[in-house]
Order: sequence, then structure tokens, then C-alpha cells
Amino acid sequence: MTPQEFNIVVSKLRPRLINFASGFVKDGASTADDMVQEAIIKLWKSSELQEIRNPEALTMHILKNVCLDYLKLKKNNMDSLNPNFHIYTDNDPLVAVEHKDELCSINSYLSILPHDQMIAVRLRDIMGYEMDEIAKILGTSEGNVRTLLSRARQRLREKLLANGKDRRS
Amino acid sequence: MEKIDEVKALLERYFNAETTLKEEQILRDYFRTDVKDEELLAYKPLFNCFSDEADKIKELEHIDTSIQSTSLKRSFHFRWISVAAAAALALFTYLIMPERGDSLKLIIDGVNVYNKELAMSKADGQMSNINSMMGKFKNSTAQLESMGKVGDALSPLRSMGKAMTQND
Repeated sequence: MTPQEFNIVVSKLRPRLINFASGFVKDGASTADDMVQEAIIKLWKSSELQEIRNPEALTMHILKNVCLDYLKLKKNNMDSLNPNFHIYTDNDPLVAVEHKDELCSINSYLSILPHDQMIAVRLRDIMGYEMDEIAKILGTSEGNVRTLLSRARQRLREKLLANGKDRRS
Repeated sequence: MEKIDEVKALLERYFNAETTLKEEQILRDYFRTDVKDEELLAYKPLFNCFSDEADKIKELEHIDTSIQSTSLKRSFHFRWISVAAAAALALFTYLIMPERGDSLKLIIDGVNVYNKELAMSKADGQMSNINSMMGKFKNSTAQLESMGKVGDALSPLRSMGKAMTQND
């Protein structure tokens, strides 16, 4: 792959990558940009070693790992150091206000899910990937993706129905 | 009513992750409309969030691809302009000199020469001209040599002159 071809592939993917990464971070777009940049550098290094068959799946796979690394690092660094760190729960007034206002934030819906389920929902419901593509990105089987996805959607459903009841009562 | 039942059935399949991408699009499109059913209303914010987010990506991708396609088109034009220029030049030379493809190509004093012997004789003439010029050059250098000898003869006088000035 020549640098020019690589640039074309990457610039085509960039909006999706940024969107995906921004689902993991709360401190602004610059961090998501950094994570995408890191994933692209890793992709370039791997493209030197081998011919890439499916650049999109590989890039998403790399980015997913970068994002998970970021979350781990953040957990290790921030949680212990920041005494004001606050775990948001269902009873949190801030969350309650968000829900009352019906603030459309996809992250508030997805934040209740485990990481792998959240990634599966993002890839399917927002980015519109087919099951086999998601399986490639996550490095798992199609059956497993379906399980992840149905669990995630069921949890979202429970949450939505509970909110609906709260609002009515 | 039929539509609502259809959507409810699709929703069940959606939550079991059994729907195709097309069916999921139908659901998103439905929740974009004015939903009145109480049961379905609860799911509206979720699907609308998904649609909004997907729209954002599409918009960005559209901007990106339009930028890319214009830059690609431009480079494509430039590439073909150089090829066209080369082809035009080849055609032009062919039109100007059509019947001289294989014969001897020689231009002397602005006159095209096709005959080999004539070319040789002309070349001989030029060479003799150069020779005569070289001969003249030789003569002038001989004169310079004699001037050098005069200089040599004067050098003892110059050293004497120096000695005299030192003595002063």
C-alpha cells in the first residue's frame, strides 16, 4: 500500500473512527482524535509488514483495542488518585435530570453496558455493520456477536421501560 | 393498527438480535415519525439517538468523500493533460515533416541535406575552414613567443634596476 492509498483509506474511515472513539471518552474530541491517530499509526506499521485485506475491519479492531487500553489506563490512574471521583448510579440527581429532560445522549444509554456489549451496539446500531464484519472487528464468532447484542439490547430495554414507568408515575 | 403490530413484532426480534440491517432501518424510520402508542413511545429516544448519531457520521463521510473526489478528479486531469500534450507534439512533428521518417537527417547552414556525399563534402569544407583558423591561431602564438623572448632579455635589466634602488 502506497502512502497515498493509505491516506485515502484512512480519510474515508476517519469520521467513523472518531465517532467510535468518542463513545469511550468524556473529556472532549481531542482525546478521541488522539486515540484515532494512535490507531492509524499502528495500522500504518502493520501495513508495512503485510498487505491488508480488509483495512476497515482491521482499523476498527485496532481502535477498539486502543480505546479499551485507554479505559484501563484511566481506571488505573484516575480512580485511585481523584478523591472526588464519582460513580454515577441510577439514583444520581444528575442522571435523573438528564433523563427527565430526555437529553439525547447516546453515551448515557450505552454507559450502563459492559464494554464489549457497548462496542457491539455501537458497531451495529450506529455504524450499521453486518454481523460478520462485527465478528471480524471483535475477533469473535457471529454467534457470539448475536449473544452480545441481544444481551445489550435487553438491558437497554429494561432501562427504557423503567424510565418510562418513572415518568408516568 | 397493522403497522403497530408489525413494528412490535420487529421490536421483539430486534431485542433478540435477529433482525437484519434493513429491518432495523424500518424501526428507526418508524420511530422518527409521530409515535402515539404508549408502549412503543418508551423506545423512541433510543432509536432516535441511534438515527441522529448515524446521520452525523453519514454527513461527515459525505463531506469527506466530496473533498476527496474533487481532489482525485483534479489530479486525474493533470495526468491526462501531460499525455495529451505529448500526443499533440508527436502529431505536430509528423505533420510538419511527414516524408523524412527514414532518410538521413542533416541540416547545414539552414539547408536540408539528403545526399550523403554532398554532406561529406560540406563537412570537409567546414573542417578545412576550422584548420585554416587553427593555422592563424598558431601564427599569432608564434608572435607572442617572440614577445616573451624580449621579456626574458629585459629581466636582467629589471633586476639591476632593483639593485640600484636598494642602494639608494
